[in-house]
Amino acid sequence: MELVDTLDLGSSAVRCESSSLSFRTKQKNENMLVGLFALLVFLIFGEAIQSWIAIPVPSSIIGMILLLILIILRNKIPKSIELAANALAPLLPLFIIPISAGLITQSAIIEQHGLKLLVILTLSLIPGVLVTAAVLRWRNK
Amino acid sequence: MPSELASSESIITTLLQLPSTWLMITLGAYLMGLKLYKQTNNSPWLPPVLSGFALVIAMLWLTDTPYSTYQQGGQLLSFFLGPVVVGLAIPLFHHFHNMRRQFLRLLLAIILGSFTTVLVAVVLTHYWIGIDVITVTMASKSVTTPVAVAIAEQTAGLPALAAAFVMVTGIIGAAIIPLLLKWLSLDSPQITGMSLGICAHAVGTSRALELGQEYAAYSAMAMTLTAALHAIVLPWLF
Repeated sequence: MELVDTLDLGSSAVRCESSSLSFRTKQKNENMLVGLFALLVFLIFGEAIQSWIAIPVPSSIIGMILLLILIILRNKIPKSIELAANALAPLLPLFIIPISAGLITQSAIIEQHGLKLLVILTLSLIPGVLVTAAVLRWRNK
Repeated sequence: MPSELASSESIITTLLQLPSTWLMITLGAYLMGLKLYKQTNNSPWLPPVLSGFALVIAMLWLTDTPYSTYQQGGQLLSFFLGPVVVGLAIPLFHHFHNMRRQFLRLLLAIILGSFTTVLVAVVLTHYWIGIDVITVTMASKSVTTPVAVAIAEQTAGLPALAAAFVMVTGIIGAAIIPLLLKWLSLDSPQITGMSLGICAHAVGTSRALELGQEYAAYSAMAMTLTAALHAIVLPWLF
């Protein structure tokens, strides 16, 4: 895969002799963009595969599996991708807000079934926890 | 000639149509949520995503803005959920590495534990509420939001409702799971950590982090594996 070679492009760049802080920051930002680019490439590949073989798995998950395969094959996480993923992850709550705000269009469901849903969500936790604990304890120590 | 100047009311109406206005409001709501979270000493009942969400909803309601108008700005942010999900491959790789020793048992706990909680929720919803689109959406309740949204879109559920289920599950789970296990004297880094990750995803994992590093390691692993597993399996069932 040619893509593999491009991933570490930033980190293998020639360094200036007097490496100042701003230079390193610049380098890091550039690397991060390379990483974001790579994540998008995997996302698009996921999209392509999904429409190609028509499987119901979300395209972003297919992209994730492709990236996982690449990482396992190289047995090393590309630095640029790690930089980009680490930069995006803490912002997750911000990315989620617009989707959750769509709840405003579902207010009828919440008004009618909100309490029942709350009870279901709470109750269903208990068997999940018990089964998890049982599997972990069974014939263990 | 005052008639040539637009009235302040019409200016506001124009501004409320702009994607950048809603982008600004969303970012502002998130920052306020973040501040509130810090001021309440990281209260598990007030994660920034919840207060940010409440503020945005309040703004939409006050200005009577349709969600489709809002989403023209909002989608710039929700777009990033895709790359975030792809990036989950990195923690997944780390966790596979770390769980080699007990691989089968941990994997079994994740499979059985996570599908039990989902099955119970789906069955209860089906018989108690009986609206298919809600039942389908309920199936994605046990995974981290970006993945839950992707599953809901894939299974023709309601992404916004999925996000709400996930948020509520996480907050309640993070609060009651450690108490429940302590009460049953089953509390250990492995059991509590795994339960938090399986049943309360990211919110549970941040709770696990408060309990200790070992708790958090198990929780993060369980959360990532549950998300990947459910995203692959659930769309075939619904």
